[in-house]
Amino acid sequence: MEQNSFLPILIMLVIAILFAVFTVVFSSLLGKKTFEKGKLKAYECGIEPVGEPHVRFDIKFYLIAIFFLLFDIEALFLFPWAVVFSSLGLYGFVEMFLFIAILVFGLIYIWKKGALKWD
Amino acid sequence: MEALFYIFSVIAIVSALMVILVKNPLTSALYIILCFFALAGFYILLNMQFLAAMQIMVYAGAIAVIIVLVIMLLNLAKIKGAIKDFHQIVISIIAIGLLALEVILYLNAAGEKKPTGIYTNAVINKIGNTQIIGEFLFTKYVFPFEVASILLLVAVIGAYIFAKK
Repeated sequence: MEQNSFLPILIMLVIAILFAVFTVVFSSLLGKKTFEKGKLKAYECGIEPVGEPHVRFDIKFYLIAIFFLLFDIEALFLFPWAVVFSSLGLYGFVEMFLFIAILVFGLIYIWKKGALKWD
Repeated sequence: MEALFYIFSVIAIVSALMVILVKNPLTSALYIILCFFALAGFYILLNMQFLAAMQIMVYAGAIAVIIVLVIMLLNLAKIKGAIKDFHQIVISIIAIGLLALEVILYLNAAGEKKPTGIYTNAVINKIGNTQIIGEFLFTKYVFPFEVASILLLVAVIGAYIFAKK
């Protein structure tokens, strides 16, 4: 658990940042630039766009995101469990089984209610 | 390590400021993700690898998705300019005051109080942060752990029922 073991992650982060900066900077340097008013318009079959561009999004997008967050938190508890699993034995297995079972009940509930259906 | 701390501090403070200074809410969302990553860096410097992973997965991953979705769901073209609300100002002053008080109290007590118990920094580094969290979570604090699953269950069902209305 040395901090030096995070050096590869740091190097990867630096490379990722450099790559992102490189891509943005070079594409703006090399690319052809045209400044026209028409370029900024929304393309709508040649007709001038009318009204607001905002459309009402389905609440289902948000609902799925919330479910993702909650089950994501569930999955996070598996990490500390996995590293001490061998020393906990059967007791640890039963604990996690109960934890998952309670959440599976929630999953079945939203499944049966059709919250995961998309139509 | 000192240098890294300052780098993360600068990133955290600047990105947090940019969240409220930039005009485009989506740019704000990107800056808040950067801020979350900088905080994860602090956790790694404090030898809290598990919290760092949690910070990135939950905050920079899931919470950021929810923030972006909220921006998508709200019609931001309609909300023009900052809405100045008296309550908002009062609440923010109280919040800043409490935070300042906390920092002052903490800085005053930092020299006097020493961490107690057998789990010193050296021991934690030897065994591993995630292992210790796991050990405690599944033995001593097993009841709160199981209660957490019920809390998550309530949140799942609650989110569904609110969205249905």
